[in-house]
Amino acid sequence: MISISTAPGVEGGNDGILPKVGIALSTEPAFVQATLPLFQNADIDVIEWSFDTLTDAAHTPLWLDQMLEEYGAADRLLGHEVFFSLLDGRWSPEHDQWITALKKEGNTHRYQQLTAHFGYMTHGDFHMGCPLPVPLTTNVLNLGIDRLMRIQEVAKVPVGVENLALAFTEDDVKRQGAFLAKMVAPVNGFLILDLHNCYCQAHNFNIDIMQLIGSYPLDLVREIHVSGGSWDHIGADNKRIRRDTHDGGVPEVIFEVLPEVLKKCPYLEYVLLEQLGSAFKEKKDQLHFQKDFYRLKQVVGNASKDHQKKAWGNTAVPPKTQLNDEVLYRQQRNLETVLSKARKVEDVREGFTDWQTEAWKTEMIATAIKVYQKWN
Amino acid sequence: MKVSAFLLTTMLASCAVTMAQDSVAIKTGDTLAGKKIPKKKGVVMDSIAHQKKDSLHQKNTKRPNTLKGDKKPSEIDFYFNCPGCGRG
Repeated sequence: MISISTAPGVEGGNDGILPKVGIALSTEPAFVQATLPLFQNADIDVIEWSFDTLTDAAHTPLWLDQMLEEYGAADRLLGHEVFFSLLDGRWSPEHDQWITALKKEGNTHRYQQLTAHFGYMTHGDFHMGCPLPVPLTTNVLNLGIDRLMRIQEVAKVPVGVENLALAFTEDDVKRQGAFLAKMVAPVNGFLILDLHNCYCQAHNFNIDIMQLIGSYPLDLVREIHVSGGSWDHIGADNKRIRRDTHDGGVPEVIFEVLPEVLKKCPYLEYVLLEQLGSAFKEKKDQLHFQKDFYRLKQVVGNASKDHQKKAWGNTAVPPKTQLNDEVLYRQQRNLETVLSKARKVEDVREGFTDWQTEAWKTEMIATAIKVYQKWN
Repeated sequence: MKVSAFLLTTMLASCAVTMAQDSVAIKTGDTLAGKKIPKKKGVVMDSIAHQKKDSLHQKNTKRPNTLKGDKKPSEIDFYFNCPGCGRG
């Protein structure tokens, strides 16, 4: 039986709710230092925890369990995967291990929902890997549906998917929202709309950001992510590429579009601020994070209070056998091999059916090479 | 949301202890595996953590693979839990 979230929101007018504002939790000391004043002031409404990023009990801080316990008991704890690799062509033993770990985690802490990343995670162990895009085919869609059903069945909470920042083609960028809608439909799932990921795509493909956001099924957005990133410079002409690195303050453009986005997402319940602990190098970085948080809280607080709750999730039962796509699997491994060795973008385009590599944007291939070689 | 005083105290204590240990272990400007950790923020390898990862990988000819039972270096454990990903 899938339990549908019934957490009470902050009541607004007309029986509406005000979305809760929180942070994506990290255990790094600098992150704890930056967020401790926010916890002390009781200003963090909700936390999101990626339970699969910390696998060694010896390095788990003592406060973590207590934190998850308290937010869980208040129906304010959200789960977010990093290493499951939702759209890998082959269901692997690592997927089984992850599902087992999820079951244990779900029995230990009380989550309201569990979300996954669109795309697949490059192979490696738990401290390596990066998410890469997939071709938007029917096979990939069916893989996603199959995996979401398996996650929901074990997690026993509604599941959702977050949009991906990295894309190779403009067509993929424009179709991602509709594709995600089809993927979450069989599980009555929802979307995380990551505004910085949208910003990356809007900048890198020269699309108006509100036009891009408008291409998403906004009535499926239950959660918004807000974060910062960095600029990269690609190619001989030093073209600026926006990257989703979570290592800086929230760009002004995100705050500018946020009020409009809030209006367009009728079932929004959570707005989360993300930043890596390693980004807090100096005291001023911590203060900047706190400033971003309170600005976010203020913008959300000023939003209309007519957001509504919706019943997410269902009792869909996955088929007995996991779905695989061996052709996709081989091409994903091939892509990783090519990205790991590539010295120029021309090395990358060969040998990928369904991927429309002829339409891949040169700067984005170069970016994928850098992302891959950074994290693998 | 108001959290317990016990939680806040535990966070504060944990944070203080670990920061003290870490400041001894490594800081910007130190040398790790023969490579000086730059003080300036770069474009791609843009954090101390990433520089540490590089150094550790240079130091270890065989990268640890926890899926195959290898033990993870503690520094990587400590620095590479990436909430929300951010590996784009």
